[in-house]
Amino acid sequence: MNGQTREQLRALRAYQCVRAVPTGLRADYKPRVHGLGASVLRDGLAAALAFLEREKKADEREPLGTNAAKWLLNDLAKSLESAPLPELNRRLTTMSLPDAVRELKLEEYMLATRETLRLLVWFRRAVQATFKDSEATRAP
Amino acid sequence: MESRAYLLQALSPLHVGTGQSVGVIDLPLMRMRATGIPIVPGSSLKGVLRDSRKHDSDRARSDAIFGPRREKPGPEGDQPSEYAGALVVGDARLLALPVRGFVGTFALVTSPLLLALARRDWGGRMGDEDVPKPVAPLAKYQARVASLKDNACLYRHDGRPRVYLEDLDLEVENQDDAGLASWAEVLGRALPSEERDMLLRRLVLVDDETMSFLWETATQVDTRVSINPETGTAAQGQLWTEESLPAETLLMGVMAATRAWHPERKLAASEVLSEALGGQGTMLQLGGKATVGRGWCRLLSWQSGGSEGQR
Repeated sequence: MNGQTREQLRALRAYQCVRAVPTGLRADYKPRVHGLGASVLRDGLAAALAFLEREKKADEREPLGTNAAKWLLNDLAKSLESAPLPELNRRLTTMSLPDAVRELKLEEYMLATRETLRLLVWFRRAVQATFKDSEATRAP
Repeated sequence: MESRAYLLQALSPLHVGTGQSVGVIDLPLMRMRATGIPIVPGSSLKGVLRDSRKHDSDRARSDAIFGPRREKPGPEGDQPSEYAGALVVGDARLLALPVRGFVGTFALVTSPLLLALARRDWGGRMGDEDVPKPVAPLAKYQARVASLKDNACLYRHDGRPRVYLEDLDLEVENQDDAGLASWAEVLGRALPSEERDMLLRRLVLVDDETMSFLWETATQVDTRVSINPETGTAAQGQLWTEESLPAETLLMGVMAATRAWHPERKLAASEVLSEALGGQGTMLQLGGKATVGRGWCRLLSWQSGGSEGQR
């Protein structure tokens, strides 16, 4: 017991990530956060991350701050690194999140799916609370 | 008090929700708090059953079964009445979830926990010889079927049977499960005769861990949008997601009844139950989103085989 609930820790990580999203990226970041949970439920975690990865690939050589999919994948990886998922944590030290998830055994894959869904709840809340409407509707 | 177990079979996606949420789904399903098992609350079912009798000329009979109507809606209407309704409608709890698969189109997936809860619902209502025995526990991420020969959802990999449910590729024990076969047989008795072999062909037993993952992640999630009447295109910021139990889901619950307390309508408990359950396979619309086709269900019960009991 570290004196904080798991939800508090998820909330801390999510708010930290969302507050750091550059203004110019927020309009594209917001719908990706909103759609990712449903995508995980419909298609599975590996497929949902592969979808973000595909978006990321389009301009992989561009800096991180110009691609919302890349930024969100990075945020999720950072947040999951500190979640209590030993197999995923170990892989994330040497590989990207989609690669790490693809390698997981069934038990860890199920845990990673659940953890990601719980985390995305906080990302959604943080986006709603942090981004102003004018930012969210302006194209990057 | 007399009671009877009932089965709800979803014929279209079923959305009985909790209202708006701040989770990953805007309109999630209602679930049991401690277990997360999806449910249809008894109050929803009772309201729909009562509504189905609204054109009944014998209003007193309907009131005797369902209780006197409230004079005022909401908490203000919660006043003591002259008499109580005779019918008690329990929540319908998930019994088997249809999950898409690579082989056999879909499987009806259940688990030892769901069957144990169903057995508890049945307790004392069926003769001992009719209540299926509890199934043997399973190792994590393992599955079992009633009959390896008859099940439509199996494929063989390296000579070993497996099922492929959504994302999950599970090994199936290489022997028939007679306990599960008796569940398929007894549950099937509530279904119309032409559908009775569906459970034998599609029922797949998985461990509780896998089942809870499936009832969290294998429900139907639809994205919907409002159309701006001025432009005929999607309205800004009017996109939402809603969760439903897929068509073919089976849920189980219990209805109970006392004799009617109505001063002018004397009904025995068995009459109250028969009236509430209606004819075999009564069609009902349950839950929200009725106008977009959600919530068509068949209400079924065990008419033969000692389905009624007193306690």
